[in-house]
Amino acid sequence: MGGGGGGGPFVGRSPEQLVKQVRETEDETAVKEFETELSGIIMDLLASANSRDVGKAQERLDDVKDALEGPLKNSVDTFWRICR
Amino acid sequence: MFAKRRILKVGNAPSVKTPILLPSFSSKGFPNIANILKAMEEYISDEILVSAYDLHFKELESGFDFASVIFLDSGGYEASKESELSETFDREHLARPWVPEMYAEVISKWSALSPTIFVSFDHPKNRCGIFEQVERAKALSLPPSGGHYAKSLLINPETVDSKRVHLAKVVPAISKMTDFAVIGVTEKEIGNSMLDRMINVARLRQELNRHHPDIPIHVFGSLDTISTYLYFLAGADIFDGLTWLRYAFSDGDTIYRHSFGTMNLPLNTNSDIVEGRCWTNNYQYMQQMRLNMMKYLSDGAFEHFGKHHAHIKNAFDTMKAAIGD
Repeated sequence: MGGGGGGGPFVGRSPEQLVKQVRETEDETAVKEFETELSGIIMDLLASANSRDVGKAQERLDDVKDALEGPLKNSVDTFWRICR
Repeated sequence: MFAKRRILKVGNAPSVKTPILLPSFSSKGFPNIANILKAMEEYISDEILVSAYDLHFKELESGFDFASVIFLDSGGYEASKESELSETFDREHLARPWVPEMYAEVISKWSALSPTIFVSFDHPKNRCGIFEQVERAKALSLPPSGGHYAKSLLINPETVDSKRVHLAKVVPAISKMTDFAVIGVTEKEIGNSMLDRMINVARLRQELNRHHPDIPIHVFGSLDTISTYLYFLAGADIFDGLTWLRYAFSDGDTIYRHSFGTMNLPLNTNSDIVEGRCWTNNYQYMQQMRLNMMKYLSDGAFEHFGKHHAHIKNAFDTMKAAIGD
């Protein structure tokens, strides 16, 4: 980063051109910040999904299965399975 | 409590509430100042400070109506070889002759639609006693169309050899300081240390309040991420300086521009663009500082001043103890 870029902000660049280039870097930074923030939110959500109580969830699913099998008087196949 | 939201009245224009953090534009140290101003016009919609010296010598051209209020400094800073506290020049500044008549000529041609504060004439080689300073400032002629214009008194040292404004000499003249919208001092001339400067600003606030309650105090050259808060706590209201063009404001610190670029921008960003990014970043940062001051006034919490809040509170407590408040 040391030294100048091209000799000064207005060497070969009008004030309008400088503003345009500055705006572009601001936009890039804003997109990067948004992506970082979004990725953080997704990671948090995944972490919270992965940290659920697997045993309890399976227990609840079994309760639902039993409740359904009662009135139907038939066995019910579940299409879900809790992975550890 | 010295800090307060005060009212700046500029003639018959709608009043403005302080604190006000002014981005200043000066040719001293910035040969491209006209281009910098042009580039920043797109970002700035609030108050600015420009110098009559730069207008006279065509370093800047008029056309500042994008600003909500214009502070027209007389040009004593540009006309001198003296530095302000944050200066780091890499080029020699050649001061050109600057006399009151030149300033009067700039004022006579002034036609800005934006409310304008005209700062009293100031030149390091043209000093006089405080009573005469007040009288000269009162005699400053404003443009005849100027219902939305007002004057500011910049208090200077009394002699060419003196480096400091001595409050004991200023106080007897305070009752005469009528007809001014603002009373100003330069950071460099109001004390030898930060504590000294804070104490003197606080004492000036107390003395001014006796005669002109809540008239805004302008500390010239006081703009950075820490000093501005300290003078605000001491009772000052308007802050300007060139630090925002020299450095980068980042998380409570005033840092080297390239460090800001390295920490906040892609590493391959052209250094010229980093410089431009620092100006826009600093302007936005100044607006946030203003909000932080207003939050402090709302609940008294020093945490609003950011990561250096403990140092800022300590400085404020020390100042209060020193003045016995």
